[in-house]
Amino acid sequence: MATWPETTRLIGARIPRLDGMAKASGRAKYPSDIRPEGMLFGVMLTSPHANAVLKAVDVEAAKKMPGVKAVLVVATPGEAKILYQGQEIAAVAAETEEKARDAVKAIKVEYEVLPHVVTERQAMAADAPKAFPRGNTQAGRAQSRGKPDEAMQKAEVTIEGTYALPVITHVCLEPHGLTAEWKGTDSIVAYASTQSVSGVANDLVQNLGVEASKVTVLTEVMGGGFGSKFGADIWGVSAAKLAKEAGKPVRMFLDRAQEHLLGGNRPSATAHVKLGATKDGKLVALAAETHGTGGRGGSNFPLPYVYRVENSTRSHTEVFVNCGGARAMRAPGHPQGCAIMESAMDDLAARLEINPLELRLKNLAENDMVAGGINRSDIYRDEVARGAELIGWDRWKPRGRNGAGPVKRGLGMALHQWGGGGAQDKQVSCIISPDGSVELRSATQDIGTGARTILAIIAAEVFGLEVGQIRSNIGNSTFPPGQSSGGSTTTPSMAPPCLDAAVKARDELFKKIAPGLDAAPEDLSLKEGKVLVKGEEKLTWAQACRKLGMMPISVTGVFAQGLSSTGVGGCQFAEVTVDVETGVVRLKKIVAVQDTGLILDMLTWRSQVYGGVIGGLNYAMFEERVMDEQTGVMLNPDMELYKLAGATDIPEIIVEAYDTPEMRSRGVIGVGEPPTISTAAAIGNAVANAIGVRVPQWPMSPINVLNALAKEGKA
Amino acid sequence: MSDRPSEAPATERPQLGPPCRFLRNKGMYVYTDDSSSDHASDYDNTIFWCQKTLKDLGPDDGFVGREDCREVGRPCYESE
Repeated sequence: MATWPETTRLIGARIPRLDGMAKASGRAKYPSDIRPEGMLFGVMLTSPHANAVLKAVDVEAAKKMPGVKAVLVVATPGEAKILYQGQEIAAVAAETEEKARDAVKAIKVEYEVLPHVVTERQAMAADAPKAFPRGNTQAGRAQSRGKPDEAMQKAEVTIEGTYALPVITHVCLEPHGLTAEWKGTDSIVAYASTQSVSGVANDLVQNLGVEASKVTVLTEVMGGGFGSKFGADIWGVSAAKLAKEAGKPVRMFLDRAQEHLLGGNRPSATAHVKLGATKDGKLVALAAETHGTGGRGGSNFPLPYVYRVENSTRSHTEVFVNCGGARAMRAPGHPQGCAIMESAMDDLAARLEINPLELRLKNLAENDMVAGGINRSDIYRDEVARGAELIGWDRWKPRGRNGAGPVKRGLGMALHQWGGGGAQDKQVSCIISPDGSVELRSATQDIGTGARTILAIIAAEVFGLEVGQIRSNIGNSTFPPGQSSGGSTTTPSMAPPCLDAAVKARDELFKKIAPGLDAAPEDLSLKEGKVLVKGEEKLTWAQACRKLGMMPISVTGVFAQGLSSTGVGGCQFAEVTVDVETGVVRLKKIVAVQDTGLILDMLTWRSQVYGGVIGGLNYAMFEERVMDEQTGVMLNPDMELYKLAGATDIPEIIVEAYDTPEMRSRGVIGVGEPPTISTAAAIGNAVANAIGVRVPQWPMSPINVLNALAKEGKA
Repeated sequence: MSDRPSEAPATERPQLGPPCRFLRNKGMYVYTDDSSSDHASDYDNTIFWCQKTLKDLGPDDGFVGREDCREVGRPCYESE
């Protein structure tokens, strides 16, 4: 079993991102910033209808528009069915974006418009039009454990509630897209905003008929993906085809409306949950009927969640709607499952008049074993204790006792869990050149988590150099196979081969220079830019590398067991105020306690947790795709009416790393997804605590708060 | 639990083969060394797409999914 160094100089310290200044100053060139010589602008024509048959597409007028260099029909007239607003019809490349947009408007499309269903309510209505051949709904696989009916009947206390979370979209700041540039007739370079350079390359190979060796996908930096940017997509392939036809590079990025409509979304979730418990708060049964929509599939979520329920029954129904399709979104399914389970747990605690923190601890599994022989329940107990201290849980009061005035203060909490393990088949190459420079290469990319910096830290640790002396060259699909950025797997997949590469390169260097130092390779070590022989400084790093002559060292590192692991947990606490006259919720403070094994860079680790919490509070407070049932269109496909937090909406956020020797010994585990899971649940519970009424519908917007109060006669 | 949606009528199960070679999901990109992502968990929330169409509808405009894309009778199905 491989191990990380016992004593470290850089690993675990707070190291700023290597590309932080470039990003902050605007020097960093994102894929959407790339402008190859002669580049044309691509624009997609998409359907304005939610359900239709495409009868005809006439592009002749568009082709004759000034500045138009290529036009491509994407959907086949007479055959293609249009199943959502935003579905791709055609694409245009022109000298300017304006000319391309004018040309798109000149394309004549004939549709046979059909009845649509764009909300779950509409799709599930008894008189709903059958928008899909198989029907608008489909039952998922039933789940059952123990004897739920019997246990529920014997339960001393039961609660029932219906909880619902809306569809939200990914809202990547950099839209989906790429710029395609052909090199000759059979080689292509794509500058793609992607979380998988290899995935985009694979799609281009498949859809263009180009040899894999002649496709290069480059992603130096990118502006957010959250699970929605694994492939080239129709627009990316369209850009490549237009570029081929025009003989010039084509830039094709979605506009903001298209980004909302077809760039992906997180499925909705609605659950009617019944919990049964003993009088002292021990869960004995759960029964749930749930449904959700991800467009045309994939809306399920974990339930029960976190807590041990010996007897449970669950049915889930997929609801199909004429809207853009769902894509994986940061911790798929977990934020929904967490919000629903934790709401029900809180409501049970209120019914039992038990402190909800105590109820949660009481219902952790005795043994929740994860990799490395870790009992996650033990970790949860420590984390909850720490979080309670940081939020000031001793100030918690039962529901409805949070002030006599219109502004109520409340506290809430929630627990979450995630995997975060790594793939074992990725590689990192390390090149030490005679000039002393060190380069790492791998076909992974930095989705924003700090992957570039993490790899450099590992190499710098091994070489006794500063992080800035390492060139961490990633975001190139032609490099050794690297990890796609998803599932919180990038760091646990890439750190082990990086360490292996650096160690191999160091050992190779020692072998080459040791004879000249009258020493054995094992006598050599590296420290603070120096080569030491039996602890005595002999050469600088630069002098040592010059002894390589004309030949650099080039090695490839592979995965090794023992350096990464999987299975994490965490908890979050929220403090809010709610004005019961206006329904306005203000976030005052959020505490996030998280474990993730060995933390390689405390600064980027904390940054990920902050980002996760902010994503989670957006889900809790603002985000919601609003569809118009009459017209079938999205009413808020922009950044004005699709609400996101502004700077003044962000409360004090306390990030607490559960960083212990036991955790460090587990090796690296990803942290991209876990900290976004429980934020919405904790905020929802804080609101319920403040106003004494469950707000069953996210987001915690004024209308939803006031509706909940009105339903209880408190508005 | 009054708003439970109506379920689609049961239909005869079509013949299933191995997954179509164009079927894609995130797990294939992330857990490239692990075939466990081919199997459904208790709560299957996997989101699939077709590599030919690059969306959640196949070349035949049918749904893309774990079972859907194992139907050997679909005109777009390719096992190898």
